[in-house]
Amino acid sequence: MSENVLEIKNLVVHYETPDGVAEAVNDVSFTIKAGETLGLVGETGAGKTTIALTIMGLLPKPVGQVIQGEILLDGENIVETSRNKLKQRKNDRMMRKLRGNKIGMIFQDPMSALNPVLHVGDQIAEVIRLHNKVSKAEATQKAMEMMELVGIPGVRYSDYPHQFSGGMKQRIVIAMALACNPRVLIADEPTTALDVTIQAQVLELMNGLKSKFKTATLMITHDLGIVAEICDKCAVLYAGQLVEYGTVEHIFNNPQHPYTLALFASLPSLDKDVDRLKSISGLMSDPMNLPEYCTFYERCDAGCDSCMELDPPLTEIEPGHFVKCAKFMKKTQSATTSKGTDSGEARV
Amino acid sequence: MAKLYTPAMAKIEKKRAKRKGKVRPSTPGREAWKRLRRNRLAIAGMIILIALILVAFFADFIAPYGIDEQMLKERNQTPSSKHLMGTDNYGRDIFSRIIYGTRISLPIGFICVIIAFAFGGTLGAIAAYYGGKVDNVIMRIMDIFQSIPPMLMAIAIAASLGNGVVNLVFAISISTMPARSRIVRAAILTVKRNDYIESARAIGANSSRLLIKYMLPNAIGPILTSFTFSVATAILTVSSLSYIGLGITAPTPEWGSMLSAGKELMRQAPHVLIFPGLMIMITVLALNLFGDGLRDALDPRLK
Amino acid sequence: MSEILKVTNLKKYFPVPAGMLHAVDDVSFSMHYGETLGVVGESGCGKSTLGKTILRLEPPTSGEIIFEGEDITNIDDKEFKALRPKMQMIFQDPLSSLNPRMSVSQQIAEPLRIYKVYKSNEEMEKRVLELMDIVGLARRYVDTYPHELDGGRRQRIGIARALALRPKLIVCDEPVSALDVLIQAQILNLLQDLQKEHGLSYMFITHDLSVVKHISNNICVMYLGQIIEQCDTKELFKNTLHPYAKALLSAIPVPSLKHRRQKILLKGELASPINPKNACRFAPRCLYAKEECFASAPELVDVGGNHRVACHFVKEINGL
Repeated sequence: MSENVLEIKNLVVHYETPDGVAEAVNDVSFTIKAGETLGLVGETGAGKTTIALTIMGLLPKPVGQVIQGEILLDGENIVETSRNKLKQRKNDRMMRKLRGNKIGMIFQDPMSALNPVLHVGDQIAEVIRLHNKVSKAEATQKAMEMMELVGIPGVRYSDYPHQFSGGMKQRIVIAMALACNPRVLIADEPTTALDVTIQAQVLELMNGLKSKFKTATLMITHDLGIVAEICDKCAVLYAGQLVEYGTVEHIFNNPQHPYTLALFASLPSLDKDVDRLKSISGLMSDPMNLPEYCTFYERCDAGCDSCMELDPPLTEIEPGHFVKCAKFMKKTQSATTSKGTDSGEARV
Repeated sequence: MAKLYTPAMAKIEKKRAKRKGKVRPSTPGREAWKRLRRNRLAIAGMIILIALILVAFFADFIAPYGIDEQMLKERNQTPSSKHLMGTDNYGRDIFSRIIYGTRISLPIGFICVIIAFAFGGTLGAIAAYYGGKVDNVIMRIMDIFQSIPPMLMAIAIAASLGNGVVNLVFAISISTMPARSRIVRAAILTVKRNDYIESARAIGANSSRLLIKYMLPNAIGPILTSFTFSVATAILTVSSLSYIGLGITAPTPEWGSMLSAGKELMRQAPHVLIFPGLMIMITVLALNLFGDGLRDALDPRLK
Repeated sequence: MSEILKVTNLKKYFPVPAGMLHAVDDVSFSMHYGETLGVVGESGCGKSTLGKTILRLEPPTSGEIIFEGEDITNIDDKEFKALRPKMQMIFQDPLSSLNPRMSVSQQIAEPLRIYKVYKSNEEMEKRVLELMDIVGLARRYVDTYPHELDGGRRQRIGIARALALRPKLIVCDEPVSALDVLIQAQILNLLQDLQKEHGLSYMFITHDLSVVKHISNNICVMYLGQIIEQCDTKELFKNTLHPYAKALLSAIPVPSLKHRRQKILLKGELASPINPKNACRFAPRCLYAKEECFASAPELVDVGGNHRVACHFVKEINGL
């Protein structure tokens, strides 16, 4: 098994605003290996973007604060939980060197990532020169290669961002993100602003580059279709917590958490005809006011009284497939006990 | 996995307990007030302003002496318990004159800006609402006005019409009108782009309803902010014109003209000049601080 | 008279510095009472402009719009005001389409006030509460403001407001694309329930083919201001004929690992809708484009069973 490139352990992030503390990310852990893509799914306000910002060291300070947890990039912790200003500044310096170099980023809006008054090629070359000791000519050469790689003719090196369409701009942003051959690529809704036919082109491109660059990709999206298309693993986020985590096969072929099931049931399908979509009532808990018990309880059909009593842990229900639901807590407990008896019997 | 318990979480508990008590719909205005309250400088500015307005109202009770009460034996006295800010070269109590001065500087400042906004703002709103040719004609006329420096224009108007409060107000209003019309036009143009204007049209709202119920209430933020800044500028302009003898002349206790009167005695009796100067500064500073806070509070992007 | 809306050769051009922007170019279709017509296309295909032109939020350049047998293309605003209650609109972004300075009850009462439907305030308040019940908005939100509510509830306000004047036709402009999937499902269900109860006709504008498949009876696929394929929903998904519609359908990411579709990847991106040439507008991206496609624009023709396609080679491509 190959090394984990990105490993997130028990990450807790709070936003401390004058109105109160928003518990944006609560005890989230996951790993991504080289060449692997993890899809992070969840609705608005579930904490997807907060996780991305934390990895990139771009949490809005001082409102956003990492309370605890580790983010390991190639085994090295890159997150600072201390409130000490000096330590935070040191961490900021370190993150500045990592961003664009070891960590590449693609955002939803390609326009905001590109400087409108610079040639696109120069913008790619600048990233290369910032992190590598190369001559200007070499950087230009490399930038052109990157452009060709993402399907933009090198002759457009000296064009400005406004001369490109949305899909082309996103390609340039991808070229910029991958220019330094990063270990981790964070893509926050990279195709949401694009049309479906353009989205298909960009996804195709990302899929192709994945194998070439062997980057560990964190794909943040609200579209389960995109996850099915390009991800290897999937994590479902609800109210700042992972409620289900596993390979795409686990999530799509054998979804277990009531929330994941509800997500699938609510999607209008192209293949089947349904008269009425299934939906669940209610809203995600306010991150400023999270309950002590299961955060999904109030919207859950399968909820029982014991769900009110505790916050169930993420439980492994089959190798590599984790679900955070009380109904599996008992099962695995009984499973372990029955296993215990099995081995006991074997001993006898 | 046990739930984490951090100091931050203890705070949340407290907040939760507090929040359960009150259920009040939060109107956009109330939200803005909440944000404004957090800004200490803005609140300081607001308190100073309120204090100044109160002083203007109750000047008769606060001022120990009359405006023109000359105590010729006590000329050019330095501040003392009898004369808090000393006296000028006619033996008039500076403190009393400054108190009465609030009745001149503040209202003139406000009235100038109200007139400038009433005319300039209406023109700006019309230009923004109708757009196209109407917009072009109105704004080009405003451009012509604006090509003359406001101060120069105010001086020209004041010089040709003569001294006096009415002429001064007229001069300042006219010279600042183009700038105000631009502010209102920009504010309305921003609001006009919003979808709710289209959705109001879809339910059949007519022009006047669109302008009064949809555009103006939503454009009021930047207009209000610029209003406070404009009052500060207007007060400065009044004082400047009075200082050069084109505004309000002695013996009216206008701060600018007091400043002008004090300049001759700057060596012997600096307090005659310092106190009116200080008052102008404090008033303008308070208005600017309040305006700054207001801008931050009304800007929803900073939420 | 079973047609609620008939649009013939509707054109909407906008003058821009570079020439004429053909936002809607020669569009014809008709809608029956109680049906949902889905209008699908990518951004810039003119689907929103089409909706706004029909509601007279934009004056049409030319063509004919007949609503309930009455030609509304060139009637003046006063005459149209009498018809407006029958034609309403639901917008995409429920936050930006609501006046932030009006409370929920004021928002919903606004059309009732404009049309002076009720004489007394009590009657109007009663109707507002009734409308809130209809769209499933709890009465405790009556005094709240849009910014305090979530996207789903905001959209319910928008729907209540559109329903207030008891319309017959509602143009829904991407009503669910700003919402999370669970909320999207709630709103789609609500729209379907309302259609049954109140006999509404919807013109449902969206870029999402799976949503449009779920809710519509008939579908128009638009490309650069023109309808390129039009038929009933089942037929479109069973038997897609136009190369663009095929590509569009194949490009949708499917949330399943089993039903993998063969993707048709299009070359390039949308051409400019400014001063288009007399040619098939899809030709530059089309996999089957031939000389003829660049020489003349194909007409929307019926290929049988009320299935209309605008493509010169529809028969060859599909082996009909």
